[in-house]
Amino acid sequence: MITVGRLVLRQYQRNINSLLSAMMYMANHFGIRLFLFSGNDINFKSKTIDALFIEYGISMRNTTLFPHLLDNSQAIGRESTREAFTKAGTILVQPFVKPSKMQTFQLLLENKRFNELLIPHFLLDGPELLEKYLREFNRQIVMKPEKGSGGIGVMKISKKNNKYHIISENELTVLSKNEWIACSNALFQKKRYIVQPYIQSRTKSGAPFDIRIHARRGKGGNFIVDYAPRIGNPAGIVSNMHSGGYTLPIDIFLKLEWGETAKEIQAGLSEIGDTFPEYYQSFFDQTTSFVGLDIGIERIAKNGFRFRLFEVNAYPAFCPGIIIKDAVTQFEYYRYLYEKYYPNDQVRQRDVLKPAQ
Amino acid sequence: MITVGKLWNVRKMHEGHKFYDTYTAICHMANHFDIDLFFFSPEDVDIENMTIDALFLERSRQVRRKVRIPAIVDDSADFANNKLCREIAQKLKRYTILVQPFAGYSKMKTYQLLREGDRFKELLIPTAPVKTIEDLESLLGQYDGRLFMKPRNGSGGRGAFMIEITRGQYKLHAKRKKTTFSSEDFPSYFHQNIAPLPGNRYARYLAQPVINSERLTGEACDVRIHVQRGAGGAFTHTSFVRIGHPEGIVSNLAGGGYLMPAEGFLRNEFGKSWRGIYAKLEEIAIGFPEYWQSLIPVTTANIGIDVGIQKTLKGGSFHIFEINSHCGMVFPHIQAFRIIQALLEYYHHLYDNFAMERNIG
Repeated sequence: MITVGRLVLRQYQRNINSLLSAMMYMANHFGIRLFLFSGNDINFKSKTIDALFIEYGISMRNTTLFPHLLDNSQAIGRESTREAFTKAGTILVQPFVKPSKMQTFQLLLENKRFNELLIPHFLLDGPELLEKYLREFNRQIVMKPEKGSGGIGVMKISKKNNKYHIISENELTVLSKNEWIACSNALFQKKRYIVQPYIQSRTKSGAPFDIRIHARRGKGGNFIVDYAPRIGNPAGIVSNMHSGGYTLPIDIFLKLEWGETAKEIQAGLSEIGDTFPEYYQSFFDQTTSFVGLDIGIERIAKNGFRFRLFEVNAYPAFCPGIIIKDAVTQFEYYRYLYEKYYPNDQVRQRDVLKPAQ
Repeated sequence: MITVGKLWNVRKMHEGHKFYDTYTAICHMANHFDIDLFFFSPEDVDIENMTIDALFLERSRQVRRKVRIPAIVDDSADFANNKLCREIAQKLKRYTILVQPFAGYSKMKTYQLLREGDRFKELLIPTAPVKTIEDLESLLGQYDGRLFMKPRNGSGGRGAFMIEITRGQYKLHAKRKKTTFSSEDFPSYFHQNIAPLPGNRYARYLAQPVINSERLTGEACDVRIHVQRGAGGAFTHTSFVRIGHPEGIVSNLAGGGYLMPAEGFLRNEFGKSWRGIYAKLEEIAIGFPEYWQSLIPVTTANIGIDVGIQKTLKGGSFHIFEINSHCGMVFPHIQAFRIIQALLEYYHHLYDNFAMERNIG
């Protein structure tokens, strides 16, 4: 059996979501023994882990040696943790540390190839320039924390009749100028924010959406690419699942929204999906096991469209709609890494597939 | 190790089919529960030689292998309710344990059974067969000139339509199609498409008052409570919401709909009162299966309850649209794994209880 430890945040262990437990059930079929643990469960001295296993639907704790592979793609883990594992001979599934949003933007801007997708980013230390950007970008901007994920803290600010309309977490607040100044001052005391023009990527019925291009390394270490539209709450600004969103098969979604242009859009998306992950990888020494792109589609004129790149992710959220396929891709990648880094391992001889009766 | 054969249309097992994910998940998870699971179609069975040309999933590769008749045959998937499957299941019955011995009742019989019972009556939607145009007229008069019509024998929303009478005109609204008839043209349409077929004494269509189970944005929606027997034969359930195509009238996936987790959906739709709605759904999910089981003669392995929620001033009123008794292929929503786990545990329960006694396996 190949052993794989999956580093998760502590809260996941207390209440294992059905998806993680499904992965643990499925692992057996791929000759993989999968367990969960968080940072506090590691005993660095004895090189053991107090890990969470599932046996026949019952979760139990067992002390186990460091695994063959450490999947840190869900919780990145401290640098010291990753070092300790690497020193002990464990292979990291995601050794890649993603640059910040701002660095990613700079990198892509300088290398030009996907420039037409890029949305301008401005990193602000304080609220002084907000007025300028509001004027510049048609009185609608998006503010997001410099470090953040999952749509948390994202705000849309629009200025109408000298009032400031702020949408955050599906809720609209209308502020006067003075209130807004106080509010923005308070925001910038805690964090730095990135300001962008607001990109209208909405369905016919007005719900915000984006297309998640989900490229994960699988069999043979190659990227397996999937496309999933994520449609958000009509009242909100982000299209992730935290705020009550949903997904549809990509072909059905594009057809409903664009009719005959759908094929053209799908081809465009495939082109990005086929080239971007390897292109992005080429800038880094360490292999990334995952590249996730959030692509918005603006409507231009009658049947026109323009792709916009909202974000590049390296630590994937589960992508609804392709859950099982994605899990299989991960297992195949575990097997690939194992065969690459442990070519002479004894356990490998053990065939886990049982012959038919 | 228990061997289980799942009866399903093997031809559907290609990527892109709506149940493909469920199918692979069941195969991958079975191993963990010491179950050797394969899929097969009715035509794969060789009853003379007692073998099955079975389809296994090895890692992510489909493999065909000839096997003996397994200890358990799972005939609980929706496809397994068709005639060919029922026949083959009846033939295999002597040599194996069937998971779903209950074949299900027609819509009308289900309705009558529940109406005569003493619980959950308030959830029923009045249903009446439509045989003549007079039936239709009187029902239209009774329910504000609007009726929801569905075929007596039908599933997946096929053939369902809405009929409305305004200013002497009949408006029919079927899947993404609207047609209008004048009162002169309508009778001939009625006799061709709605009235019972010649020589058939049963009605072709059933009529119900229209229940507006809709999202704020206007799409039809309903809650599917999926109940499955699991470890020790006890019922477990999950619920999720099916939202229909904006131009459609039913909320199933065949019509371009999609799924959402019930909690997120209710929170969006009902705001602060969502908890009350959720509690009521849980009450149905826990109470109804045992009650339904007490009304039918044989053990049922799973129940799919389609519940509509009509918005009212106080929150919502609940209606049962349908009871399904062959839902062994779970919709690929995020909670599906809990149901698959229950299914696999139920195989063990069946094996532990019946294999010895019947000398199987």
